[in-house]
Amino acid sequence: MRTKVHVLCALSLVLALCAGNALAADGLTKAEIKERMKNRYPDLVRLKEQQILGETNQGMVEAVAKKGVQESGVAQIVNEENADRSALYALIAAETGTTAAAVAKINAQRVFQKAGPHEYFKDTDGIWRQKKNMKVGFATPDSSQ
Amino acid sequence: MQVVRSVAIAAMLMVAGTCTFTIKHEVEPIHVTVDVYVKVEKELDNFFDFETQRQNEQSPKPETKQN
Repeated sequence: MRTKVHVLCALSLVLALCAGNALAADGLTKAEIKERMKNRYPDLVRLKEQQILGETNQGMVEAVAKKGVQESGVAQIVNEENADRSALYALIAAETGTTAAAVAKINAQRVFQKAGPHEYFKDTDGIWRQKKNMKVGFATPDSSQ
Repeated sequence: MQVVRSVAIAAMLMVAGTCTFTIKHEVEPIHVTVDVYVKVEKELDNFFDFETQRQNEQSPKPETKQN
């Protein structure tokens, strides 16, 4: 009985170590994420200028209308951008001692401040509006963080 | 008489202790929140420096007068 328990413990340990290595292999560094986002940035700007993509108050990009997703490559750009942003928010959260959600909201506000008047943003009610039609406080960071 | 005095001193100590505790709870979280917010903002600005670089590259240069 005791031998079985030892074997199970050893197996669990091996599995845990394998899982850890797999995560480490998949986890990108900040520099790698930056390079990917930098390369994608011109496409992102173009799609925002064409009013196909907009920003949510959760610090992510989304297609403003269904027709936007139909354009070739848009869905892929959205998915890749949001995956990189999620990874980045988690990294910065770990570095600064806060949550990824709080980092995401601060970034949403940063993007809003830098955006042009015709760019689209999804407000807290889930409605897309152009910046020129919105109030200044787009994504107020959670004060409890 | 001594009992009354002891009770009064104990009450005063309790009040004093409560005051100190309340002030700590009101002040510290504000500092922590502002500190974290500033740190995160700085990290994001450093990370997204390529956005500013691109905007600067695309903005038209001021025309120089030729004589």
